[in-house]
Amino acid sequence: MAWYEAALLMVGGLLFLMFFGMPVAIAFLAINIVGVYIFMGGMIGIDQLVANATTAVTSFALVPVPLFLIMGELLFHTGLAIRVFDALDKCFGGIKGRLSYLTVGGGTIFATLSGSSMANTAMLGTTLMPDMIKRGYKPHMIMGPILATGGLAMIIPPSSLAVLLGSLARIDVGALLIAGLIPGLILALMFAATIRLQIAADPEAAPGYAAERASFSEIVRALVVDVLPMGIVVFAVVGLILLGWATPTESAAFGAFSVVALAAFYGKLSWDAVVRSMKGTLTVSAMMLMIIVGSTTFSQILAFSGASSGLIAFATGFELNAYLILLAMFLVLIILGMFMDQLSIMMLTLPIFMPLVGLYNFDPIWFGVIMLLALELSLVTPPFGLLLFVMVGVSPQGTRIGHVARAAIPYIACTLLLVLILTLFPQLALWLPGMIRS
Amino acid sequence: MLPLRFYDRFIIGLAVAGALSLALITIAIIVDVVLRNTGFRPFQWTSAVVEYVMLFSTMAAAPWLVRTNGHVAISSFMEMLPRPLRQLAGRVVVIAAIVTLGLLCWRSAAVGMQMVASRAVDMRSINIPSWVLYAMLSGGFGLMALEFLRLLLRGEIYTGTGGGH
Repeated sequence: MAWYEAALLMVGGLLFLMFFGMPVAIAFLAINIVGVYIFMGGMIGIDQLVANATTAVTSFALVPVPLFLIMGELLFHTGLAIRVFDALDKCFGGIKGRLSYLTVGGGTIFATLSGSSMANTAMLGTTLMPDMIKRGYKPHMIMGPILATGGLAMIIPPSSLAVLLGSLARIDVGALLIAGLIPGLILALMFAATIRLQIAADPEAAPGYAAERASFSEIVRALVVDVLPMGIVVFAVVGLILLGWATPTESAAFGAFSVVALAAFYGKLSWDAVVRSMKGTLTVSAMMLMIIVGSTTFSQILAFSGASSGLIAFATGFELNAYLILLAMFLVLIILGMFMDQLSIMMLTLPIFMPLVGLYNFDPIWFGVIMLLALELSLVTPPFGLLLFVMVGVSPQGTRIGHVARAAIPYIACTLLLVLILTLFPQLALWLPGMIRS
Repeated sequence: MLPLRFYDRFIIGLAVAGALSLALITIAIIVDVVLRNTGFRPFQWTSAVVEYVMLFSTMAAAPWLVRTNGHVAISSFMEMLPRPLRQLAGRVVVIAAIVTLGLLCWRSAAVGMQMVASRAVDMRSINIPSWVLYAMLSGGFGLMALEFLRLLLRGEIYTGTGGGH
C-alpha cells in the first residue's frame, strides 16, 4: 500500500469515526485494530496493540495529570479560588472596567493554581458574569476577558496539557511547564492592555461607577489572609521544580496537599467538597488517559506503514523555509482545533510534527510552548471551540455563539502576536528552563 | 432485578475505587519524598504502585464514564443530521464500539493467560506479575463493552454530553 493510501486509511478513517460521534478513545482503538491487522501481521498485531496499551499510561511522567486536576478541583469546590477574587476585587477600587481587569488578574492567579481551562472559564463565567451584567458592562467586555484568561491555564504552570504534551512528545516535562510561565504572564499583560484599549475606543463599554472603596487596612488584610497563603500552592508546584527539589510529579502531589492543608486551615475542607473534587478529577483524568490508552499505537502504525516518512518527505520536498513549515503546522493545529479536543489533536499530529521539529532544528521546548498556544487558540476558534460552548452555557439566555466568538477576537489577536514575538525572541520561553538546567 | 442492581453498584463501586486510588497515590508520593529528604529509606514499591494505579483508575472509571456520557466525543456533525439518520448512525457507532471493545477484552485476556502460563514478570521498582496489567485492561474493556450493550438494549445512543473536558 502506498504511503498516501495508508495515511488516508488511518487519518481519514479516524476522522470518519470521530465525526459520527464515536468516543474519541474508542475511535482510536477501532482504527488501530484495522491498522495493526493490515500493517502488523493480523492477530499478532492486535496482541501488540494490547501490549502497548499496558504501558501507555503506566508512566510516572503522566502522574501530574490527575494530581493537577485534584488541585484545581479542590481550589474550586472548597471556595478558596473565590476568596482570591474577593481580595483582588478590594484592590481595584473604582477603576473604569474594574471587573474586566479583575477577570484577567484573578484568572491569571487561578490559572497558576489550577490546570484546567474548562474549570477556569466556568468559574470566572459563573462568579463574575452576573455582577458585570448587573453593572451594565457591554457583553464583549465580559465574555472576551473570561474566554481569554480561561485559556491561560493551558500555558501557565501547572498545566495538565503541558504534562501530556511533554510526555507524549518526549519533551522534558519540567522544562516545558516552566517555559510557559513568562509567555503566560506576557499574555496576561497583553490582555489587560487590550481591555484598556477597548475602553479608550468605546468609553461606554464599561460603566464608570463608584465601587465601594475598601480602606487600606482592609486591602492589606484581604491580601495577607486570602492571597498570600496561595503562594504556598504556587511554591509547592512551580517553586519546587525551579529549585530542583522535586520532579514535576512530586511537586504536583505537594501542590494537591498544600490545597488540602489550606482548605483545612480556612475551615473549608468539607466532605462534600472532597467528594465533588475527586469525582471531577476522576471524570477528566480517566477520559484523558483513556484517549492515550486508545491512541498509543497510532503513531507506530503510521511509522510502520510508511505514512509518517511519506508525509514528512512530502512536506520537506517543497524545500520551504523552516518558518513556513512552522506556519503550516500552526495552521493545521488551529484547523483541527475547530472541531477536535486538544489531546486528540496532539495524538494525531505529534507523530508527524516531532520529526519535522528535529529536522528543522527547532528547540522542542520552544515548539512545545508554540503548540500549547495554538491549542489554547483552538479552544476559542469558531465554530466548535470548546470554551465558546462553556461560555454560552454560563451566559444569560439568548447569547449566541457568534456573540461569544466576536468577543474573543481581540484576545485571539493577542495570542497570535505572542506567537510572533516568541518566534522572534525564543529566549522568552527558553530562558527559565535554561536557568534550571544550569 | 438483583443481579442488575448488583452490577450497577459494581460499576459505581469501581469508579469510587478509581478515585480513592488517585487520592492514595497522592499521599504515597508525599510520604516517599518526605522519607527521602529526611534521611529515611523510601518505600521501594511507591513508583511501581503509582504507575499501576494510573491504569487501574482509568480502566475502573472507564465503564462509569460510558454510563455518564463522560468519554469525549465530537457531537457537532451528528447534530446536523436529521433525527432518524442520527439515531441510525448512533446505533451503528454503539455496535462498532461493542465489537471493538469485545475484541480487545478477549485479546487482553488471552495475552494475560499467556503471561500466567509463562510466569512473566513486569520489572519496575518492584516485580509484579505481568498478567495484572492485562487483567485490568481486559476487565475495563469488557465492562465498557457491557455498558455500550446496555445502551443498545435500551435503544439509546452515546452522546458524549457528560464530558468534563
